[in-house]
Amino acid sequence: MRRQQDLKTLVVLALAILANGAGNLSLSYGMKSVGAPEAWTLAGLWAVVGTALSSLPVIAGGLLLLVFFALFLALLSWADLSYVLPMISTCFVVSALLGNLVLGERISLIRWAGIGLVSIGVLLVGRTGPSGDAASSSAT
Amino acid sequence: MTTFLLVGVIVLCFSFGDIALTRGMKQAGEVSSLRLAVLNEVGGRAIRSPLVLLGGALQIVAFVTYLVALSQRDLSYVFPLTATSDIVTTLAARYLLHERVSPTRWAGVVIVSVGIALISAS
Repeated sequence: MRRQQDLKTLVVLALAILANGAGNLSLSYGMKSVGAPEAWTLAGLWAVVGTALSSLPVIAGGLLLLVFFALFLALLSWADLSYVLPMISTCFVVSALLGNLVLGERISLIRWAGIGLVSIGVLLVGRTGPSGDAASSSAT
Repeated sequence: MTTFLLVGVIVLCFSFGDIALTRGMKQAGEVSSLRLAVLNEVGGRAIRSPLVLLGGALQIVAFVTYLVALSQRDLSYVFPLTATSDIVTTLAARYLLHERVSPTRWAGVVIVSVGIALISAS
């Protein structure tokens, strides 16, 4: 039972992280062709919103982030918040790597260090199990 | 000074937003399978839950405040500060939601927060 629950949590976590990464990638790609506002005025910003809403990648990105939020809520319906929140931070790593691999963005040394730390932290939290923190109830 | 005030508002709204969302979703019931009937039922209860709505509203307030803070300072200054919200949220989950947080989980949360701060500070 516990095994099955853990597996379900990991699958939904993976789907949420994928949706988040793909959504951010799509948004970032779409917004680059929409371009920065010509002026930081209400009219200038409004024009950007208008163009963005007619861009397919931007709409797809927004929908994927909605899917992410729904999956996040589903996770909270059975798992601990203190488990889900750090685990979902894998999004930062995935976004940084996707930005590097697909959009050709540079990753600085400090950022690599951050990616390494987040990964170590996620592995630690992952060991505690999704609910009731197995690491504190049974010393395994 | 105002930036720190804004960051305080952001951190508190994110943390208490997450707490409200968690409590609301625990009340709405577990998403026990991906069958449409189950999703419909739990989703319907979630959308009508005052706690879930409050949590969503607090997240929106946090996000708008975040945009205001960004208009004053650089992203690489504001974002690492908001990374502390994970630690505040874990404290709140421990004391308000009575979740068990073992030393292993604490260590993980702190390391993740430092990592996020580093990713965004560069």
